[in-house]
Amino acid sequence: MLSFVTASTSAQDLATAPKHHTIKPSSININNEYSAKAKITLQDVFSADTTNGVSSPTQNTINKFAVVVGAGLTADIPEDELKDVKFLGKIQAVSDVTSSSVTVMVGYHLV
Amino acid sequence: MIYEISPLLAKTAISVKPEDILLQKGAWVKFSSAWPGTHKWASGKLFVVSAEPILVPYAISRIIPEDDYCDIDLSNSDSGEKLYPENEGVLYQIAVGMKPGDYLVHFYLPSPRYIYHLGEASMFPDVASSTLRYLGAKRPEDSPADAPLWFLFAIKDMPPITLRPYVETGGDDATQAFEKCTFMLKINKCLLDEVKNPSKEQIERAFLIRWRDELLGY
Repeated sequence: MLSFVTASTSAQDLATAPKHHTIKPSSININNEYSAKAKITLQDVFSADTTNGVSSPTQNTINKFAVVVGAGLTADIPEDELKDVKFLGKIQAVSDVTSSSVTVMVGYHLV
Repeated sequence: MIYEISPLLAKTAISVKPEDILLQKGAWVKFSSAWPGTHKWASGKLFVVSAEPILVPYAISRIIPEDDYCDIDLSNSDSGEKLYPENEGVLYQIAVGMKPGDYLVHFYLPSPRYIYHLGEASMFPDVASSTLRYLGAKRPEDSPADAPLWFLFAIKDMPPITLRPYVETGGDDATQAFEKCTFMLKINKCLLDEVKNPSKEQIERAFLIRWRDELLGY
């Protein structure tokens, strides 16, 4: 599966893991045609369950991956470099710029 | 009450029939005489699976922080997953498969009564101990989700089976402080007919389901 967003300083939803699955990204492509460098961070957003140690769990937002892409450049992260990355809940992309000239494309599969 | 096929068997050349994995119509099942009076319809009796069983899939997931755990009650109690039969004469064989992850699972019947211990008095499972949390613990590779090797049995009003997933500290992903523990279950629903006067062959060859206390103390 593929999901695509443009860069924004507010979090953009890329994909959501179904209840009994996790998401394994297989590729990440960031294309920066903006006039300045852009930092893209992928976050895993989920709520944990009640456990022995946490009786009232809250939503967690965990930064899982970050890359800075220079102006006019493209970052391609292949599956081999993503093999240890997985998402338990929702994948969100957040950037330090808001521009439709910066695109974030994530390929993934459910495990 | 429990049986498990060792993953070691996956490395050997063996021929496995369907009835070796899941109970089928015509299979003989015997409950030991140690089953208490609360289960007198089953205690000490031999049954035949009277109809083709129905296989019902189910899944349970919990997201747990590292170095923490939760309890999952499979019984029909208010807080349970309600995976037990509601009638006498019914046996549920529950195949428990686990998706990969950095967690291990303890088994209680009911909590905190463990089954997987050793003879020495201090050798019982304990997730609070850095060593004993590995005693008797099942890992996802012991019973993979797509080929489960761990089987539990449940009858009406049996004490609650409790699964306790514990998430290891420092998994394979340095930024991952949580793990999703997913159990893929297949519940083989078996209708039982009592064999009033079982033959010697039936008694010898029936699948014996022992009571909890028979699995302890040695």
